[in-house]
Amino acid sequence: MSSSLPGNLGSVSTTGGPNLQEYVLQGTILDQSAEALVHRLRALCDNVDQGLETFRDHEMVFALHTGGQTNNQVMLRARRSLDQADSPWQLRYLGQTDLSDKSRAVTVRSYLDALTSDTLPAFLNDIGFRLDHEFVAKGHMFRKGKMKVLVSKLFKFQKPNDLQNLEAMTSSRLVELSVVAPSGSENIADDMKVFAEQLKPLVSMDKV
Amino acid sequence: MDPSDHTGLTLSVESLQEFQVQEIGLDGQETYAKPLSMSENLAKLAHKIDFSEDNDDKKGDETRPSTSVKEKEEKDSKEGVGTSFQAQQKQPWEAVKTKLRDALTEVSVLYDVVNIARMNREPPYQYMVLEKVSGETTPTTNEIAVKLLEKKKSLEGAAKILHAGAVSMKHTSSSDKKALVEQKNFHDELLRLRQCWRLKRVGNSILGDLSFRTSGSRFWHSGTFEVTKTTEEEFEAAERRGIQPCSLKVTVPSDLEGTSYIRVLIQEGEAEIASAYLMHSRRSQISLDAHWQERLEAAQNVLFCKELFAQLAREAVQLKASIPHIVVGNQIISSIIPGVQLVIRLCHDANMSSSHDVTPNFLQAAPVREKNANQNIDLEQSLHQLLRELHHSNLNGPTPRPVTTSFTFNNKRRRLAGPLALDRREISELQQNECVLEKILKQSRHIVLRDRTAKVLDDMAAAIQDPLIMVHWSVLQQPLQATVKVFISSPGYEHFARTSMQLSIGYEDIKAILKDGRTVSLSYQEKDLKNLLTCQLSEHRVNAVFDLAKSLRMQIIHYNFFVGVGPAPKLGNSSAVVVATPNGKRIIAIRSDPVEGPRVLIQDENNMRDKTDVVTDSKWEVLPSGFKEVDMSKIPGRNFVHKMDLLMGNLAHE
Amino acid sequence: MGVTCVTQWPVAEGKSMQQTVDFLTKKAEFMGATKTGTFAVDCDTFHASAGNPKFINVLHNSEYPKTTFSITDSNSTLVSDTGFDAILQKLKGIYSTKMSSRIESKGKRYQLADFIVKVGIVSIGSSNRGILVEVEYTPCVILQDCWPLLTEFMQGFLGNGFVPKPPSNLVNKVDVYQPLDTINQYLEHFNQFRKAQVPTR
Repeated sequence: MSSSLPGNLGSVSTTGGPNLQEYVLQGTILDQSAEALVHRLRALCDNVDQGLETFRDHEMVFALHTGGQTNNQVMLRARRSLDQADSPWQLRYLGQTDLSDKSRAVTVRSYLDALTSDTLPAFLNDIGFRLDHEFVAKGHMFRKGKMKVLVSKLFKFQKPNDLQNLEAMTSSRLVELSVVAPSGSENIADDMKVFAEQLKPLVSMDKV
Repeated sequence: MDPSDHTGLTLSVESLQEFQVQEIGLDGQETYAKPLSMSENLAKLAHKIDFSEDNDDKKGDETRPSTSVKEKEEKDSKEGVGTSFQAQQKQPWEAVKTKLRDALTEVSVLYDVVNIARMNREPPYQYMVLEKVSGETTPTTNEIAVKLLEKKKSLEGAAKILHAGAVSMKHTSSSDKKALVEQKNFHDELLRLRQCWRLKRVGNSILGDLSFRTSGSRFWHSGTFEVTKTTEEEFEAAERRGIQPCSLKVTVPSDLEGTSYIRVLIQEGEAEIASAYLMHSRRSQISLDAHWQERLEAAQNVLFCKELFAQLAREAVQLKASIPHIVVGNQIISSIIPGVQLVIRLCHDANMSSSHDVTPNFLQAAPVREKNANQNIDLEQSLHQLLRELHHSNLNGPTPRPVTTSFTFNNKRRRLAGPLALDRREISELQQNECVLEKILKQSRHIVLRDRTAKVLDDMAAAIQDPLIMVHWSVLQQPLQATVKVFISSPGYEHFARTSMQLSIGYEDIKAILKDGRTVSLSYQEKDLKNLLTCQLSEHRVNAVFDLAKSLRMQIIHYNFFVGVGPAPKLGNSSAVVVATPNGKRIIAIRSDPVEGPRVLIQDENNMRDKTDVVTDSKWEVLPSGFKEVDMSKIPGRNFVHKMDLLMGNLAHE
Repeated sequence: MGVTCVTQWPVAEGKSMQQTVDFLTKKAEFMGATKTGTFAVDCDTFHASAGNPKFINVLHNSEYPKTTFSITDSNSTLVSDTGFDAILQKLKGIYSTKMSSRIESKGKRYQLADFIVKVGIVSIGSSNRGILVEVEYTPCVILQDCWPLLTEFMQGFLGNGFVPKPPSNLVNKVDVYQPLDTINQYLEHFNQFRKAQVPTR
């Protein structure tokens, strides 16, 4: 009865690819010193030929309590760009920080993402997730090889869905150095550490 | 514990923790280090043994034979101090200590030797007697000889060291200033080098980076070079040969030495076209003595050419074409249009002569210095440009939006492929990006087409004087697009008829836009354009006569570019115009065949009939009869239109 | 991408399912269609953990190889890239699926000018349940504009007696036709197959 289909079609739905992990270093810098940091990054990074890359993203963090006795919960992050209306939503899953190797210089956590249609918040609501918090991040993006450096200022909403009236959360900015790579790429951590060293003493990057 | 125990008390006995605690988790859970297995334990213990200790003693022994027996004691006591010292600070200063001790030994020996040499001239002999002293011991002569040899050897060694020291001291004192200047020069040069090239220090050496990695290259070659100080001898050697010496020396990897360039040839047919070598400053021979800047630039150029060629070769192998691309050694051959090949060759001249005026080999090989049109510098330039673009795109992808998305999508639309549910066809379209080789093939195809067009136009303009062909090339050209305007006119009658057409030359075909708005697509074959032009010329003649006739107030009886009667022309269509003089007495017919040329016929005028009684009206006096052909070569005039002008003028005023 | 019609096709009397499919593909070939590979549409259903009636249908269509379509019981949808599958795996404690409940339609894909014809056998686990025929008219994205044409083509292909009804949720659709609409049709048919009795054959 079985039709003579080539076997490769069955693999349409399997999620290929290696397990991805996110390697992160974070730091903060006061607003008044941020400009110096941006200058420093401009000198160090790759994508500076055509001027600075700025961004403005809206992130909604959804949580779902798994109903257990402890407050176990799954968090999913929905993020979209506010500059480019036609850009997709991004759904991100960030795993627990991998503590197996204390000597590691950077935070390592499992990372999954998917780009989705704009129905994402409604869909997440429908499958039981509830909005935990949301914020808008504005700032600059730099890249250095595989590494991505985000210098962003975080804003919170004064009223829900009101993008006009935002309130800065702090008077400092978040500096994040991250690489998403298949698990087991340990030399990335060293590269990141070396890069972070070059940002001292402006900002001290450390694992979360 | 033991159930038979009747005390009624259960004791739980727990052994003491044997394992080391590696980590205590946040919840208080202890993680223990796994105990070492037997073999691991052995390995650990073995690790603690310092094997070098023994060696060290041995080394001490080795130095001893060179010392005289006498100092042995003295030395031993010193060594005793040494060993205790050694025990204290074993690790970090080990090497230093050994060196110091060796030096001390040497100095002691020297001191003794000098003393012996100086003091032992006269008795009392303080130290050693070389001759046989007494008969108590019975040393054979052989033994003495050995001792003598030994002494001699030690003395020689000592003398050598002393001499070297003396020479170096002499030298330092004499050229103290010079050395200082050199040192300073070295650092100056290093500073200058640092301004242009990436350098880093590894251990004691200074390494530089020639690669294009920072600008986005992913080529395997590391492109490292080493920076050293010129040694004294080399410095002098350079001075002797009359070359400006430089205190800084760069050592380039041997495979990057020499000069390279990519040669792009367009070959027509099988025959190898001897192409001339085009002089280029970058291509001139670079000698070993050249300044480091020149040498590094040359080496970097070699690296670039290597990468470019490697990229092209890889693409040539991957790319599927109806006629497969051939990669042989340092050469890529691909067919652009039938019969025409594009040859990309990596030329590398590793021959680094140290003198300036050696004629490069390839000049000797190709003594013909004439510039060959088939070699194309433009293509080479655009190859370079394309690789740089590739580098650039490696580094500068579009920004991911939102910024947390990964860099892997180099195309915004590709990022949207999932959420927009693009189908298979759309995705495969997105994934098709042209590689460098494809781009260069297109460009070369365009160049061939352009050159062929130019040649055909020039040849025809030269060959055909009547009417004139004028060609206007557009000054601004794109790599894949060129336009040319072709005007056909007759001198002196430019304002009458002016046939124009525009040719836009792409990389696959030539589009000709004719005066009447028709668009004709021409293939790469020269014949197509030639035929089109021939037809246009033929039409132009008729058109010109038509305009001329109108201006002479003639009556146009018939005007047609596509004559259906008469013998069929070999090419295209015959065009014809028939005009009558204003008084209606004469009719002139012109028929132009693209291949045969124009024929002009005039209605025979000598057909006067006698007046009869029946036909009285004067209009019957001249009845048209058959046409007769005019021999245009007999008619004066500069060109066909001029001749026609004269002819029609005459006929009109008859 | 164009307008698509998915319809069930009964197994002919006295023939096996495979024979019926072969008959249909032969017919397509006879009409001049050329085979352009194979296709597969699959659907996994993720049920919420005990007591919660909620579920998510996750569908893939080989025509849209980068995309995962998710449709919940209350009809909210998400079109995403296939990375979403992995994220769903992370919600294992909340939503889970059984491999045996996967339903899919697999078969050959034919192209005839602007039409794409797909004839697939629907199976749940290892048991075959029926035949689905999909016809897509690629140049048009407005359902109303090309439905008669599509109907005519399908009648030519499947026989004059065949009258395809526009999918219920699309009859009044004025927007452009989207890949999700095709997926919805498949889901509708899949649900019918699931409810239906297992055929004896």
